[in-house]
Amino acid sequence: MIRAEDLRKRYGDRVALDGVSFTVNAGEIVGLLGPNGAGKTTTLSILSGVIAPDSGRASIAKHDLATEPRVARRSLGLVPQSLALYPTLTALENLMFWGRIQGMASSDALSRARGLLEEVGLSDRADDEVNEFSGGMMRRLNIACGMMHFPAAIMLDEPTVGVDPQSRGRIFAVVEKAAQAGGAILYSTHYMEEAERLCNRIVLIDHGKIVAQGTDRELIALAGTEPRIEIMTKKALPPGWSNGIIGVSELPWEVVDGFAAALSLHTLEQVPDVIRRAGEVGDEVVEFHVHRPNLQDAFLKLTGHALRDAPST
Amino acid sequence: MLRAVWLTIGKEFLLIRRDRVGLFMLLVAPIAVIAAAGFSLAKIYGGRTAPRAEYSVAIFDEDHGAVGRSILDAVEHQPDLSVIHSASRPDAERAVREEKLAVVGIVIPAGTTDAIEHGRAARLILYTDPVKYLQTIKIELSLSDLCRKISAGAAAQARSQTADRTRDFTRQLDLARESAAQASAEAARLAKEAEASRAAIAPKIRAHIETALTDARDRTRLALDTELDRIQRKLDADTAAQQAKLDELKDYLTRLEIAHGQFETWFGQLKQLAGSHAADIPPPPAIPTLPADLDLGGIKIAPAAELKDARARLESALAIPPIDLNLPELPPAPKIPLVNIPSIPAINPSLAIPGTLGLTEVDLTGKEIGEFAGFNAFDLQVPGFAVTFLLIGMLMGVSLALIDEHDWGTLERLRSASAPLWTTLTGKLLARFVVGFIQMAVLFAAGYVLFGISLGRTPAALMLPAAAIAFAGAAFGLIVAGVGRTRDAVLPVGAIVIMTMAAIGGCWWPIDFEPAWMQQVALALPTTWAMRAFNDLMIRNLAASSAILPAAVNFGFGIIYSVIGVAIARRRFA
Repeated sequence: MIRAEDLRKRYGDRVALDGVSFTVNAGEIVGLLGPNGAGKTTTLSILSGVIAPDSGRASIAKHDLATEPRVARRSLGLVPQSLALYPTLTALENLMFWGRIQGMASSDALSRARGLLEEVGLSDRADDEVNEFSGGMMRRLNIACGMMHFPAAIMLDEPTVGVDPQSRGRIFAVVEKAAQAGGAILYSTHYMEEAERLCNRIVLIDHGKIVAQGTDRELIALAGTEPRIEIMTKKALPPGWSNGIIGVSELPWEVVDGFAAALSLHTLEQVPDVIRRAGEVGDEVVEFHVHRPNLQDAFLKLTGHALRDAPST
Repeated sequence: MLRAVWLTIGKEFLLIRRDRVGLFMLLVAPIAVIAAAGFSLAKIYGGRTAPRAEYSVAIFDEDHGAVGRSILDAVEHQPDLSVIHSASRPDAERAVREEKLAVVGIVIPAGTTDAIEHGRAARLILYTDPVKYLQTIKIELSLSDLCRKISAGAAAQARSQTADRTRDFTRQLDLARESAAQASAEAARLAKEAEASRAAIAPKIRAHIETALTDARDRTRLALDTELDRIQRKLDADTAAQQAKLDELKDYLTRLEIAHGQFETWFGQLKQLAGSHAADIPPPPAIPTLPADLDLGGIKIAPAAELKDARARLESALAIPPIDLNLPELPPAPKIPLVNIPSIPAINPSLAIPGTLGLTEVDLTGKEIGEFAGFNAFDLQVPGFAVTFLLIGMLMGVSLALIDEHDWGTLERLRSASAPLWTTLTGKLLARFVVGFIQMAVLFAAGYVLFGISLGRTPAALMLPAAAIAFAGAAFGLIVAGVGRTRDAVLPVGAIVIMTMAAIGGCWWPIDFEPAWMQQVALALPTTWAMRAFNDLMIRNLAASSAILPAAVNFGFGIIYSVIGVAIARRRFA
């Protein structure tokens, strides 16, 4: 299991983590969900022993990272956000290296590597150099490397960034299989869909603090049940642009490119009125999405901003 | 932890093996650069790799004498010079300054031979191109050497002729001295032989004389005997005849005496008978009486008793007394006075032909290596560029590899995998150290095979400075990795550092080209010590022990760099 107790970390004046505590039990997949810069990577770095917290405790498989760092690390499989692979080594060589560096015997590592390559769908590319792989293949191999030594706890940091749906499906399958095998999985992501799809529990983190944690249903419930519409227009929609449409309320929403707005609707029948008004004020509606409440909405509700709106740290 | 280091080393080797560009930079690029630099600079350093007929010189021979021909011939036979024959001084000058066909124009002025032959100074005229400074220096050196050789040759020839004549004279004197000595010895020998002959001939003479005397005596005796016998016989005959006559005479006398007595008796009776007239009777004539002492009976011719005595006396006289053959002493052989032929007096140095001051290049072992032998430029370029590319490999390899690991995220993963940073750093350093060492070995082997470099007295000794600079370079890579935070930062920083270290450290040219202050600064660089060791072993041909100090210094640099580099890297990557 993975345990974080009141982890705190500062970088100068900036607070990276402010009392983060959670637990990931064996066989459980826990999503660490938050926007970029929320503190997910810092949390994972502390939990993987790469950096030390200013205060708080972290343990892996009941081994305190401060007092038993080697045993704790041996129990941990880290899948960092960056592709921690050697591009000029083959897939098999990468797996062998990471397995052996974790103390595996050569024959065990080879057997395990073959099995994992099969699992992540790369057995036919075992002897190809990694730099010939697609992004998705690299991501899958990256996960396999973290799981080589049968770790009791696995921490994945944004493992599906930039991957194709096929690879994402493979990754999910591998993660689920690891959990089924009894692994404690901490899955860091800013994709709420992945968290909803994969995680037993979700820890919502923002600005170094945990804003909520629970199952997806529990968290979505925090955001209510009203549908939501997101609209992209040709021109910016000024505040109060939806005044006059009864039962709607503007939600904070920012996107990097283009102009967009989000509204909470009372009923789905209000969608035509909203589209019409947006077209009038924003010159033309380019795109719109209508959906039921989800983690995004919960996050919005809890933090006042969207999951993808903060600058990267 | 050692396992992590070992696995890191293995992984580094795999990464290096897969990095074709890196391998190219490690092995192929250095050889290409070494070849370019070596062949380019061979002209400066000389040696057997120096290209032939590389420089053209225009020559105008106004002299047409022996010296002019010698110069022309010598220049034509200079391996790095090719000759353009000019028809005039302006042609020679134009070939250099306008047409740029020649690096230097040489005019051998008329009268050069005459001047040299008569002990006067002679000077060649050179037309040079200031832009071609190094080539001009090189040719001037060659020409100076050539002039010196010609002067030395002339002096040597004069000296040789003088020596020949002195030697002839001395030989003749020696011959005369030898002849005199031989004559003296011959005279002495003859005197000795004469003495010996005289000593040997005396008995012969004596015998001969004795023989002759005996013969003469025998013949004399025979003759005497014969004559004496004849005389004897004659005497005997005469004596017998005389005896007979004497007997007749004695008989007569005896009868006379009887008659005388009878006459006396007759006359006494006559007178008595003449009684008174007896007085008148004249006395008869006196008949001489026989001397009283005459004993007619005793008258007898003695047989030739005297003759016997005479024979005895003659015999006695003929007896040859021992011959005392006192041959007269030969006058002593005239002493031929030893001819004191004086030696040739030493030539007054002030009158001697002045010697020529030359150069004899002797290596540090005392072995003569010939004048202006130069050295194989590759002996300098191979270690120089091997060190340069070693630094590129080390600095770039270590620093970029660390930055790459950081950027790839593998460094973070390694640290989460019970592989502390120091194991990664150590593994990388060791791997790069081994690779650098192999790189040096390969480059030196290539240098030996392709460019014929010297590996010194003990080729294995080259491993010591190679290992030391590989270690120092790898450790310095840690510092560069800590200073340059990205690949884009490391490349210029590394390039500047490498260029500076290589240039100042004497990797590209002999460090002695640099000003004294820069040479002092260079002592703070590992390249300086590496090149010192390589130059000592390969060019100066010193013993292996000469590499110990430079290698120790570089190992020291390596340790210092490692401490600093690890400290920076921990701050940078931890």
